[in-house]
Amino acid sequence: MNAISSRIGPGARWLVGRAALARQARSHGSLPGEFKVAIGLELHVQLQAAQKLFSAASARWDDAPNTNVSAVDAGLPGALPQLNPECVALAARAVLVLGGQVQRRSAFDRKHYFYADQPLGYQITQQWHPIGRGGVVRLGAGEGLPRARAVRIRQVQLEQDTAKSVHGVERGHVLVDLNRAGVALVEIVSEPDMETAEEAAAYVRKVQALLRRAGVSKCNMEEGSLRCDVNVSVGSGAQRGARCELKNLNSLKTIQGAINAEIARQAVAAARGERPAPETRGYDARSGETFLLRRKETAPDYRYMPEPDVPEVHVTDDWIAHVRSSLPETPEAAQARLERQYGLGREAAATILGEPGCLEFFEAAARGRAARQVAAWITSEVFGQLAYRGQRLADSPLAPRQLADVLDALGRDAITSRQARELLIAFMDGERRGAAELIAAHGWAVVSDGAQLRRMADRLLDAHPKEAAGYLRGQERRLNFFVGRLVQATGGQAKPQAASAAVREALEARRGQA
Amino acid sequence: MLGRAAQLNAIASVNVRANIRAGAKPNAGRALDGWAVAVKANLATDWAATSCASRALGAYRSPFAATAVARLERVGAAVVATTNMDEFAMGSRTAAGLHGAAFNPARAGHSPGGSSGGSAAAVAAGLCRAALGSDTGGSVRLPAAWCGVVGFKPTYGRVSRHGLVAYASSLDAVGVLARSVADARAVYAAIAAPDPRDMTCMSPGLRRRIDALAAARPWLAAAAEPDGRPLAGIRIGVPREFWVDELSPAALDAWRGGAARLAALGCDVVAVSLPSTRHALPAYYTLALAEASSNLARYDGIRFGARAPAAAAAAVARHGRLANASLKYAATRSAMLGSEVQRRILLGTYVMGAAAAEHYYRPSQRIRRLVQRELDAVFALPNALAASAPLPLDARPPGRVDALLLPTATDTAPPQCAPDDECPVASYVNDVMTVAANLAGVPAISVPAPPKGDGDMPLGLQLVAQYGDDDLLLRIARGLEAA
Repeated sequence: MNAISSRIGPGARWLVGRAALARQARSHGSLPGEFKVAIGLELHVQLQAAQKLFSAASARWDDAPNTNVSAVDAGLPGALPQLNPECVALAARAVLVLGGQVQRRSAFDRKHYFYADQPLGYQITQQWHPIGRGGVVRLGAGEGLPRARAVRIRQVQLEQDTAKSVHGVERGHVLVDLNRAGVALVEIVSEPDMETAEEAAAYVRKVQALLRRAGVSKCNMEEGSLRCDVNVSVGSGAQRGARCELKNLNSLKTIQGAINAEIARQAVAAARGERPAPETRGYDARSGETFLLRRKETAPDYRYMPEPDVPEVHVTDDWIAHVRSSLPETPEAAQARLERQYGLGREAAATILGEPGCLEFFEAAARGRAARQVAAWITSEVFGQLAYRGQRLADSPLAPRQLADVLDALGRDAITSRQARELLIAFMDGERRGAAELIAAHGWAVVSDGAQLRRMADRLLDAHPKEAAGYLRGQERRLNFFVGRLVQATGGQAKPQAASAAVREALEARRGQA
Repeated sequence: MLGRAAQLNAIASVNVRANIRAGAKPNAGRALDGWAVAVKANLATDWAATSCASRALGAYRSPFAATAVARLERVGAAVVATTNMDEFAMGSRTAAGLHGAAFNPARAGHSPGGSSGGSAAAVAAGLCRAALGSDTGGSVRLPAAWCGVVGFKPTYGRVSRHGLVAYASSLDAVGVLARSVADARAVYAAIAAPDPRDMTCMSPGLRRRIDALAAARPWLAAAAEPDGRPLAGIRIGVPREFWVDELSPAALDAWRGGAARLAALGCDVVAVSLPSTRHALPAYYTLALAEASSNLARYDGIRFGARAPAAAAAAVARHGRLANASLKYAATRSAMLGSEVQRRILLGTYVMGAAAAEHYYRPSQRIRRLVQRELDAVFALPNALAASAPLPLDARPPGRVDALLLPTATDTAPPQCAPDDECPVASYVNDVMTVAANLAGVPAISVPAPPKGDGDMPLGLQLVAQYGDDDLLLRIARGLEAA
């Protein structure tokens, strides 16, 4: 029995109603009774290659419809696929970054079905000899989970994306955009090693972060460069659950909602002593329930066949080593390094690693500076602004150099921290002038010149002889009167400590004269 | 001439400009200057419909030309016509495609063979000097034999398949039909080259490796002795398993005659055994039809080609519950693909299905490898595709041969089928002589057998060599043809 299924009495399960189960599953992601949940994910990830998997057409699927289409993509007679080596290299990066083994020999197969978004009548994929096998994604406290979990990867296969069917634009017609047809995907198939919706979501986020950092994919669920199918099975006692596939889950929220709804549905059935049939289901986020898409008996027979137009792919150990050497360090290694090399706290390091491009940004800005201060400014001020703007760091105009200049000015006491924040905002708005120029333009330069302050203090004392005499008689509070006036006189550009020192110096000098 | 051409119905479409060019500019220095060449209607040209003799592609114009066609034009050939064929190259009669039945110039009312029947008839009748065909299971060699011309299927991968409309991709080869081995060789030399647009086309490196292996045969260097025996040193194998019941007396006679002539040219002729031969035909059909069902899935009428009218989709709808798009596909595919093509797609779909693949598709793949291994065990030249790089040999291993001699067809050309007459099994059996070369991807050539008497129908003798050994094959064929 695992952590999520705390055992309750055998008689009690009959008292557990469907609604209660569903509620419990949703709120805690856990189930009572002797249920054993197994969740496996299939992630479809669009590779960041300039061209398609088997054609020279641009892989920009969001250009004007049907503009990036070659003869192969449209399935024209006599056109043959040409494997794009860039896609093979990116797929190999995906395999390695997930800890798997790149296969020295891989091969393509045809998966057949008729559909308007499938111009060839088949998809070229890797059913029997995928480019990657094995690997593991480790989840735990760093991902906000209460316990550690290792999700094994079964295989990573390279395949073609389909075209896009567009419904509802023209009455009575389905429009087909072939721009996406043939764009390279990797399908990442996990073992059913997860037990809760939260683990599944953490797994997706972790894979996203790994692939983004390795430059494999944008992994953006909203735009569809990351798509997810989920397999859920709820077993009861010794009986293994039936595997139900949930299709078309296109946000983390939907994934979690669908998994919880499906766990509840299968658990209710199991509690009744029924065994759900293996089937493919969809998820209705409004009702919060999954619904039948198709039963196993009506599942299509894909008639897999070795792809005769594309020879086997053979790669050497040298090539694999070359790909490996160009990978960024693993998140675990980077986390350890940030803590060791820069003295960052666990949380700050994790926050920096969680944002694509932020590690590089941090290291550039922190060079030769107080690293913890740099990290604090990034994780609080910069991330706060990004969240406010709904922006990613990679899309912000802010450069590491600019943040460094702001912090340097602050460190020199050239500006106050409020002004530093204003400078940062200006840079994040796209300000292109340098920090020094901006400080001068705003007249922000802090008056820290002791001689100047002294001169100003003397003038104040001349203007207010009564108050000065009072101080010299022992009225200590008169000091604050002068400090307030002095700070005011500098337009707020003097620091109170510096102003206080200047005033005291001027007053004490008069004591000698008096 | 034109009247004759019309009788034969060998031509699908004529390129008038190319015909004028062919007449006007002979011998300008390029290899095929002044040659009028026809190409089968499943090869894309930039001037004609790539019809494949199918209603589905009757008006389809390809936006690109086949590499083989472009290479012919580059060395001066005028591509003057596309030729009649069986629909999607499925057949051995050229009987019932979009363009109607073609006929054999050797005898009125007879089939030219198929599926490259139009190309063979056009060359035999002198409508062009040479023609391209495609050979998936004998579709170049059979019509060549029946029309009395040379038909050459090069090693799989010698000629790019880019622009050849696929029937069964792992078996399809662009082939040459010509009146002499020398002409066939000239056309082959023009089209056999690496092509990045076909990943199965041999790379320059593989071609060099084959050349190196082929050159390291000391027993061939000793050939061409001064006593006028041009093929001395070459050993020819006669595979006994091809002595089948269906073999006609005339074909058997021609086979014996061919062996005798090769012996007279200096060849050592020996019997060899290829025990898997009897399994080759069913394995061939299983694999070819499986690939065909896959390759022809794209003819749905959505993006190109003919589409059935909406009314036809409504008619299909009455048959059962199909999704909207499937109705359109079913209507188009039912209306636009001929009965033989539909039969082969259905059979191919069946043998690949989850339930049947274990019994049909996968055993056939194993038989294919067995056929390849048996040929590797019989030929003296090592197979360049073998996993371990083979060492050059000092001497021909005992019992090994340089090429095989067998009949191209079991009999002479039959009368052309009546338009509605269907005899599919009979036409499948005819391929028994030719399919092994496609399964193994090795080169094969059909050379006309000398006629016994006036008015005899043509018959072909087939030579088969090891993977990549096209040059030696052509050399032996030339000797056989001249003798």
